[in-house]
Amino acid sequence: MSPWPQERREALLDVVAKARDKFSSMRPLLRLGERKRVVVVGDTHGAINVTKYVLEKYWEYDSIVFLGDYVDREPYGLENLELILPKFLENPEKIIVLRGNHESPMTNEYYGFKSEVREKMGAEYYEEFASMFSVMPYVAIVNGYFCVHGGIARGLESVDQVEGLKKPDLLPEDQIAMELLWNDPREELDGFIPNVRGEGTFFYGKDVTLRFLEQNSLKGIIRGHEVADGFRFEMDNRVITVFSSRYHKMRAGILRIEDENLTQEYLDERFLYEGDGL
Amino acid sequence: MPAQPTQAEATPVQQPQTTQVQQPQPVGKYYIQFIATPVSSLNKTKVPLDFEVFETISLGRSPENVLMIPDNEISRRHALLYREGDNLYIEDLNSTNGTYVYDGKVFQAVKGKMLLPKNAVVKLGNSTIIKIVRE
Repeated sequence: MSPWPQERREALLDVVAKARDKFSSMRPLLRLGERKRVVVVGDTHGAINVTKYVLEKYWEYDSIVFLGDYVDREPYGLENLELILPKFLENPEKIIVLRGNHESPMTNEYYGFKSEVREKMGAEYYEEFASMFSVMPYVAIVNGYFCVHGGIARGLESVDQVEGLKKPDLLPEDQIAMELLWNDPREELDGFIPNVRGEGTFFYGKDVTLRFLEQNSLKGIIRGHEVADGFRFEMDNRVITVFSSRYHKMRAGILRIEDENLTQEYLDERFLYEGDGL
Repeated sequence: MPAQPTQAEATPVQQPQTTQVQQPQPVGKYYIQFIATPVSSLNKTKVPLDFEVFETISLGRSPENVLMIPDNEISRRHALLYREGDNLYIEDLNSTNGTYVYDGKVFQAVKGKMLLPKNAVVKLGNSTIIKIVRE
C-alpha cells in the first residue's frame, strides 16, 4: 500500500466530514416506506468492483441499501468509501448506508482498516472515520423488510426502540445497538443463545424472530454479516442473508426487491480480485 | 435388432407381500446438528448417532474419533457421548478449551459427565456449537 497524494486524501476527508454531518442528522432507524425497486447489498469489505457495479447498474432504482461492513479484510476500504460516500451525499434518500460491526474501532484495530488508513493517509486520520462510523444509522425498513447488518437483539420488542438509540456511539456501547450489528440467525435454535463471536453477541432463534416480525408487522429480515455463497434463506424464508464480498472466494450476491418479487443476483468470478491492479 | 421393452420392464415390479412383523423402531434415534463451526459450510449438517454401532461416540479434532470436528480449538480427543438406560450423557475428556451445555441462560462447563437435556445445545471449545436432537 502506498501513501495517497495529498489531494486525494483531502478530497476523501472532506467527503467523510460531510457524510458524518449528514449521518448525524439522520435517525438510527430509517423508515423508507414502500419503494418499487430496491437493491440490497451485503458486506463488501473493500470489494470495490461490486460496489461500482451496483452503483452504476442500479442508480435508477428507488433505493440501494448497503447493509454495512465497507472496510476491513480486503485493503480497499478507503477506495470503497470513496465510491459510496459521494453517491450517498448526492442522494441520501436513495443511497442507504447502514452501519456494520466493521464500522467500529473494535474491529478496525484487528482486521486491517486502521493499518490501511495509517499507510495510505496517516494514522492521525483514523479518528475521522471512527467518528463518522459512530453516527451511522443501524436499521432501514423498506417494503416491510427490516434491513440490518446482524439482526434482532435481546430486549428489542418494537422497532421504535431503534429510533431511540443514542448517537454517537463509538463501539457501540449500547447493548441493543451492539447486537443489531453482531447477532446471527439460527433457525435450529429457540430464544437468544450466546454466540461464538464473543461476549455480548447472540444467536437469535426461530421463535423470537417470528414473534418480533409478527409484533412489528414485518415481512422479514434482510441482513449480511455471515459468509455465504451469495445468499442464505432460513426460517421459512423470513430471514435472508446477503453476502456481497469476494474475500471468501465464493460468489457475491445482491438481492433485488421489485414490487413483491425478490430476485437473487450472483456476481461470478469476474468480480474476484486481481491483486493491487485496481 | 432394436431392444423392445419387455412386459416385465414396462410393468412396475410388484413388491412381494410382507408377512414379517415390522422391525421395531429402535428407541431414541439421535443426531448431531452443527449450529456454528469455523467451517461455515458444515453448519446445518446433521450426523446420525448410531449407538447400536458405537456404544460410546467420541468427539474430537483427530481422525481416531467417531466424529471428527475440524476446529483447532477442539482437543484431539475432546468429549464422549453415551447412553445409560434412557439417558444420554456427555463427558469432557479434560479438553483444553472445555465442553459446555446450555442451561437456558448460559453455557455451563461440563466437569466429568453431565446428563444432557432434550435437544441439548452443546459448545465444544470456543467456536463450535452443536445441537443434539432425539427424534
